[in-house]
Amino acid sequence: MSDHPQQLHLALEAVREPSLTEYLSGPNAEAVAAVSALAVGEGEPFLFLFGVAGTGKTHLLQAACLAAAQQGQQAHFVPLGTPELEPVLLDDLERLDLVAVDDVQAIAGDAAWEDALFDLFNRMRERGRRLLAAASAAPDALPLELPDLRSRLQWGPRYCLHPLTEADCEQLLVESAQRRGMQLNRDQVRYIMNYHARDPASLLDLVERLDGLSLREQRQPTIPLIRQALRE
Amino acid sequence: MGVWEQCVRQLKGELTSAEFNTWILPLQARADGSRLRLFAPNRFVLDWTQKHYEKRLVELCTLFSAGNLVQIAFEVGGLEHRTGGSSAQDRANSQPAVPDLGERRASANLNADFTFETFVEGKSNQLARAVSMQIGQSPGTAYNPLFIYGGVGLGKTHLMHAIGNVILATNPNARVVYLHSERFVAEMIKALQHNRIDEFKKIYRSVNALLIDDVQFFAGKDRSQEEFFHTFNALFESRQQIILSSDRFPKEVVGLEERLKSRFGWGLTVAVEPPDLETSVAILHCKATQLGVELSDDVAFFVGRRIRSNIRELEGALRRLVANAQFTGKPITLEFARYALRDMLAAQDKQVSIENIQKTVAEYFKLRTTELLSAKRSRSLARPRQIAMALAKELTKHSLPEIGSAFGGRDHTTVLHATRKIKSLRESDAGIEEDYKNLLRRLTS
Repeated sequence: MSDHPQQLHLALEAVREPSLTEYLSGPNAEAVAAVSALAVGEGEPFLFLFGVAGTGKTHLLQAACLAAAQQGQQAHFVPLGTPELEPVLLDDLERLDLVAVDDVQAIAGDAAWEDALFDLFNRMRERGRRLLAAASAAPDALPLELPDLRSRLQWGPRYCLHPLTEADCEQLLVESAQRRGMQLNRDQVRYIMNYHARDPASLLDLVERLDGLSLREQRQPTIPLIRQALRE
Repeated sequence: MGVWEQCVRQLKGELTSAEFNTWILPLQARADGSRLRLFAPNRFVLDWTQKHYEKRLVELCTLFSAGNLVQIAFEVGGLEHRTGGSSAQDRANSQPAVPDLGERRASANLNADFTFETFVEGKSNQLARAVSMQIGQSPGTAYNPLFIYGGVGLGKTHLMHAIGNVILATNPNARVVYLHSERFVAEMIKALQHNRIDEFKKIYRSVNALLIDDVQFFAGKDRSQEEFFHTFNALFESRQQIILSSDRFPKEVVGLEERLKSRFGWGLTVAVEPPDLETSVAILHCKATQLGVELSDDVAFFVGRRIRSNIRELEGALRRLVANAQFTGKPITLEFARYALRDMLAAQDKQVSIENIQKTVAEYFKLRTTELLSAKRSRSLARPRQIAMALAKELTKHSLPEIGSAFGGRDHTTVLHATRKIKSLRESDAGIEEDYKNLLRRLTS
């Protein structure tokens, strides 16, 4: 390591915010198109996304909120899996243009939460607002106690998000590095794919760390630099 | 860039995207003298934001305003008044002089798309539809209250909106309010909190038609039931129309006061049943037309056969199909439908296994699963067993030998005989038909 003081990079440059264009759609192109349309108020007013962990549900929900906000609309991302939250969090959210509720499976079986979500759904629909919901499984397979909530969640189009293939993950690595001005060659990509978790979120985290490291060290990515980023 | 926009930009860099999107994104701001007023959509968001971010927000505001904004005032609410986002009380206080039908509809919480024209009639809902039309044309005169009951997603809400829309269209002076029972409770609590309960009472007791959806949600809420009881009496005595819906027959709603249950049964109680296949197909055609697409019969029958639980799910599947067709630019053929809905149907298939069918059928007929699989051939066991086999044939992809084997090692010809027998019994015996439909619904909802 150099003896010179490390150059600090501006926090803002490294901000990675979820965006719809950053999401590599791969097998999920139709779902991404539907979410993009909903985000700007042009598509269906209600969508339900489901799929295993690491398929980018949270990313899409947050990206939709940010896309709506960019249009001057009010949006709210509600991560239902956060333990400290209470059902009153859903009160009056029909004031907003778009609400994105993540991890619906986390509240399945909790009567107060199910009632609150059911009520929110009705209010959003009555006011013509947009609702985007995501869970680990389709509404039919969630252990919900309230059949009324289940049937509401079945109302709009449902999309199963599929994990990216290995080739898709490699493409994701190359493209996200390119967006940060880094060129990854084939060997470097193979190295990362062999030594790092291959879900999109972990790969994007790594690119972010690599970018920070590359800026601090003033070096283009090399395998030793990648190894260092992996250790961080 | 304004001070708030700069704060937002800075916080986007400092917080995780989940924190930012949950707690900062829904806020709105307005500068007011030396303070920044921050509006949160509700009390919970306000308390959370204040607790976790107030200190940093004050620092950033002071920094970006060069010391002009040094205080933050947190408030619940929003910057602008949004159309349709207000309570019934707010709306009642701000009625325009001569509201047109659209405004009156919005003020009544009615959806213009839910009309009798878009309600597809079948055997399952014929009576409910006929009675609803009659009430729409002459409210308050006969069948008061009207109590519509049935499972989720079968069209109760659609009928209520349709009645409300007819009343509004035929009588320019009629005051109609549709709301879900949960909203009635929430608005009442708000009115109590803000000392506006008299106003609340006045509004709901002076309408010409009150439509309350899903009254089973009143269960256990004693204060709301008390208030609703008086509202009911006031409207009933002044011969104004009351329309209620529930997922079950009035007497069977658990947690509801007896006096309310008895009043709910004073007028006419009608059921809406799950649609038969033909009605499902007609509903699909009707909804497809509304979406501007044409659906062939084979596709409609395919979707109708596979999605049996309720009409909302049927509509969800259709919307998915249409979205896929628009996305790919392909025509909606049977092959296309099979492919486009594969994820949805796979998720559904996972739920229905032969074991699940055996367990559900045994529970339904109050038998033990072992009895269902035993060699005994008494009528009380054979009929449920045949029904279970027929359901396994209809709902799973297992072959007849596989089904036979799962039923205590029976031959595939036994399964074939069972499915044929149940098919003919369903046509001739209303009891069997009802049992079969109930089980089908339990297994697919």
